[in-house]
Amino acid sequence: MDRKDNFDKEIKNIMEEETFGLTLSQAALDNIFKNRKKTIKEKINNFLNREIEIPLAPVIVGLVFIFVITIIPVEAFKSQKERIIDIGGSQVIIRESYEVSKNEDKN
Amino acid sequence: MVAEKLLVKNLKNGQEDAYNKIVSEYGNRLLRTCYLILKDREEAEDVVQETFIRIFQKMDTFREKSGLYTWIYTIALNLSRDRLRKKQDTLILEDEWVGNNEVEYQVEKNFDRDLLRKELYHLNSLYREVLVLFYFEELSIKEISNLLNEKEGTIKSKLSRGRRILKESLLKGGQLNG
Repeated sequence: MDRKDNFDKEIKNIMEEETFGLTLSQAALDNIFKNRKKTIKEKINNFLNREIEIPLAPVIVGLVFIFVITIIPVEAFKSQKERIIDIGGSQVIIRESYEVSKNEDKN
Repeated sequence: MVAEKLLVKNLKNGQEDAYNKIVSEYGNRLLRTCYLILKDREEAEDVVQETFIRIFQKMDTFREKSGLYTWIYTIALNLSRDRLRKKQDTLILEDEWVGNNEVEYQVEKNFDRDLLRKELYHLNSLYREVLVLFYFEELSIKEISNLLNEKEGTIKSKLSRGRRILKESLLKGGQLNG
């Protein structure tokens, strides 16, 4: 069976001729490599480079909120109902009466 | 052998060079083999893609009991067979076939090459597969037997019968009945 005659050689030649120049297309190669196992470095890069969709409205609301709590001083929200008066070496704090009474109740 | 072990190791580690190497080494050859078996370029390309994708996905499970080449070809041939089965291009092999020496002699002396080319494509895939592996891939009977997971006797029988069908067909002017 291993001895090959002219007929056998011709079969081989025909097969070689029929497939001569037959190569994988670029699309096939791309598809193959797309499915290859990724290294950890590539996985991290892919994670960092991935596209994400962020809805605009919640982002704007969030940014405004962060701006409000970080940039604008807390005093801006406080009503000026507390005054400090320096008398000699002492300070007198004057608050509205209901606040004082509320604190007195605690004590 | 050492180079193959290193290649397998690098593939398991996901090294890009290893993937390029395995595809450049086996890709086109595998495509040609599948094309000869399937008789369809697109299908052959699909099989090759699927083969490599499976290899990449299952690389971690490859225990290296067989060679990388054997593993790749086994997957590709199984995928090709699945496609042929769907097209019902198979034939149940009959008992060992004993040929006629007169036919062998007459054809070996003189045959129409173009007709042989045509008849090769009309040959049943059951025989064509073995002929492709034997003549085109130049594998031994034992290697084919390992790849197809069939007994050596069965491979010999298929090979012998495939050749005989072709030769008889050539004598009859291209009326293939294999």
